[in-house]
Amino acid sequence: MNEPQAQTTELLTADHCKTSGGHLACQGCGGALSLRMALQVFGKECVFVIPACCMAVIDGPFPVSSLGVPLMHIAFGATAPTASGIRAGFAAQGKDEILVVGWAGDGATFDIGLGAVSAAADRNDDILYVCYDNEAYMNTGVQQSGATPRAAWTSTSPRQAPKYAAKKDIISIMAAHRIPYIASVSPSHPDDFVRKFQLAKKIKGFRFIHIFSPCPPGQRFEERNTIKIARKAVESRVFPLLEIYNGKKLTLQDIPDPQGLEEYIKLQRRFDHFSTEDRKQFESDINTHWHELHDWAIQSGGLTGENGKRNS
Amino acid sequence: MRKHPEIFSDAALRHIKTGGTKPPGEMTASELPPMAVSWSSTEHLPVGEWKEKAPKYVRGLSPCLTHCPVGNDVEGFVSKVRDNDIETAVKLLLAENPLPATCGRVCYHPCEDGCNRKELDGAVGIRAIERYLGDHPEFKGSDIWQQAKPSSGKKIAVIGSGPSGLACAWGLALLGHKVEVYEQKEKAGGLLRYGIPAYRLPKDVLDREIGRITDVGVKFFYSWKIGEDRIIKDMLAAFDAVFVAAGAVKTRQLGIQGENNNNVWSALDFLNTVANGIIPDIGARCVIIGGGNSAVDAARSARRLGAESTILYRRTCNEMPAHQAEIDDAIAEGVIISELAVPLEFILEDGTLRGVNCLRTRLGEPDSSGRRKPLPVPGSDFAIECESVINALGEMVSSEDLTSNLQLIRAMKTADAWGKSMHPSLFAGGDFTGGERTVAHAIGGGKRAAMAIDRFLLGTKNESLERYRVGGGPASLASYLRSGDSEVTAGGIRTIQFDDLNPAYFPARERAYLEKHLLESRDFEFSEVEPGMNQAQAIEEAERCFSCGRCTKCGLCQIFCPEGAVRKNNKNDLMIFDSHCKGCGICVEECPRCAIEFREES
Repeated sequence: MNEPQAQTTELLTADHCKTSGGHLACQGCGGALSLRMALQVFGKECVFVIPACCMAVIDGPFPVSSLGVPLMHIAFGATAPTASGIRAGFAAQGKDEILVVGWAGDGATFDIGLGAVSAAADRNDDILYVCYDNEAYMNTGVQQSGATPRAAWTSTSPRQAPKYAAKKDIISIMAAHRIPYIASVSPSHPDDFVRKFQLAKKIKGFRFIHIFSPCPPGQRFEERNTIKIARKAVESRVFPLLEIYNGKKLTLQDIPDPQGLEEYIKLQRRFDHFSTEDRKQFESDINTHWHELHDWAIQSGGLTGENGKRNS
Repeated sequence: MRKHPEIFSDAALRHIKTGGTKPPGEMTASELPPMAVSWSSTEHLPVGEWKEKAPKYVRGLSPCLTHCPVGNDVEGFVSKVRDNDIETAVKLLLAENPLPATCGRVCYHPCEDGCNRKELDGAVGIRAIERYLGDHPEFKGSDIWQQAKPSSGKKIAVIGSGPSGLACAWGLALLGHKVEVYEQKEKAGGLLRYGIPAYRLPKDVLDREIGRITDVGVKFFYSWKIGEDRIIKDMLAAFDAVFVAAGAVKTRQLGIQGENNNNVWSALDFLNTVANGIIPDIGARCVIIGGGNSAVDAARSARRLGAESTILYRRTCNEMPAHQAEIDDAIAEGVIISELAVPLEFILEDGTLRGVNCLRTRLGEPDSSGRRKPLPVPGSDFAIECESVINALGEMVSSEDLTSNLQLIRAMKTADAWGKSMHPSLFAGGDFTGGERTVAHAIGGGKRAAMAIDRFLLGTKNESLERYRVGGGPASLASYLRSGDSEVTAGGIRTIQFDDLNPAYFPARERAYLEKHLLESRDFEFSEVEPGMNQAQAIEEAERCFSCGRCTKCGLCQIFCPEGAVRKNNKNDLMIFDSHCKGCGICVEECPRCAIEFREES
């Protein structure tokens, strides 16, 4: 990995849409960081819809807000339809240029809001739906969600009663809707992050972006390691960076030589209790998912290198 | 307004248009239907109070800085080359070192031995970059002169124009003093001209470097001998201070029979003769006794004169004090190294040298130098036939020349690290006073003496010069010139190790490799062995530098701060906005070069 390209750094550190500090995220929050980075890409011309999730706390309690752009809080499962409604309202006023963003956690996307997300995707409403995924209901006290990896600790899946299913494959679910654009990003890879958000901003129709968002208190690691863990997740194939066009063509950032899985597991205390068996199962889940995507990529689009350039 | 038939009925649209109210987009807060709306920002929330530790930008030292005996701002000039700012790079380099083209060729680069990059994929080729800058034709001594101090009216004599004398003269000139250099030989350079062979340091390169020193007003006087033209007492009376760097020019005796034969050379005499362009008659076979750099220089020079040369060394190649790269090159050029052998006596026939009788040794327990002691093996006598022998046992100060001059002997024996002797205005340095005998150490010593002399002539004598040492090691003339602490000479500064860095941002990148021009046939061939870099190669190599411990404004701390608390002030410096920083430490963890430190909140 290189240091970010000059234009990425310039965009992400520009003052043009300064989100205000003083928000209420925990120390080292990957979600708050992703939101800040995304807002740098979006600029001022956007409207957010945020359901019940960490971000509803982070952006500030009444009467304050940290986003610096209009934002609507909504019930847990209602992100996508609310965003669709706002989009339609703007359309009725001829304001096509305003970007409407639904910004929800994994709980509101993988579980509670899934039907509503599916419906909006089915209608191909012109919204950008972003799921920041910290792999549990962190805001309410770390309850297991559909995004929780198999056997990882949460307050409702302790060691004595572990989660038996692997992490839900939200990317394939969304791809089955044949929406114009799906991407997965990690804040540890700013070049890739910016490029995909810029593309998603331009495309019309339902776009879905899946962010890997490490959570120090919920995933139980030292705050300073947020980016390190996100980077290890990418480098060890835990979180593949990909793009899917129209549900068909998949490009995958290839990781020919996966590294750092051991450290990824070791850094997070939610994996502390892992037996050799658990560890093997975890790795096997990752490999299964990776190889499905890898085969798909080879068939349809291809594999890319680190900066999105196609590998020969 | 555009119609959107799926969502709004015509009746609804008519209501929005004509219902007596404004369109929703133009409503003010009070006109909206009742709901909770946040109008103010979180900016005033004092979330910074959550933190237990606070990140601080702290300059650290890259190990190349503390490893350089000269005190070059290594990281400084390398990073300027990386930014393609060659002019500033040359100025940074010349402020510390008047002989970059020389050091760029012959220095044994301790900086590269210290370079953190060696833990990843090989040290940065610092010496080659220094050579590129030293060879750059566009910059003259007067360029750096413009940064220097105004004239002080003081006059200093420098005895000896080797690297130490030249460095002292340069430093004093930059500090605004008048300098006269007195040299025994016909040209300046000392060991650089008469000891180091031309295939390692071409003489025109040396001439250019000395030209730069005359550019800044230093005067040279040649063919001058200590104790002949002027005695030291007169000199001390005529000058405000005197710096002696007369070198170590006498080869140690072998102490065996036949040593005074005409065909037994001392290494320095031999190298001196070759440097003067005279081809000495050494016959077809030459034996060199010793294992240091002058032994290897002599052996490779003898090869170039067409002789078969054999180095006789009492330990093994692994213990040879000569630099490994030099030994490798010598072997590649066909020099034979006969390990574990000591000379017993020379074989003479009617006064003509025929060979050397030798004895094998074996290695015993380590001695005080840490190397294993060679022990003779009885009955292992053997003879090597040869027409000439070069004694390269090592050099020492020629005390015979000094016996009439007690002042000098006292100065030689009492000089401290800054060259100060018992006599207040007499200073000494370089090989003359001992210590490590390398070009870089000699330059470092000369520079320190220049600072000590300046302090003696003008300064407050109680103030210690130690504060101008970089990380407690080599002295920095540039910060002395500014007469103040610089970032790198500040006390308590830590040296950055590889483990402190974040290697995630440094992908592997091979070190530049330049094909050497080694001697292939037995031709008279003293052309330069090592090639130089062009600008593109130098920049590419400089890009491998981590800039350990120095913020390069890469912006990662700003990108990765979840709070947006890292900002640039109006001077474009990064700063941390304390009342928003929650102290997560991502910036500390992610900084590629360890320029941010986590400190407990006081």
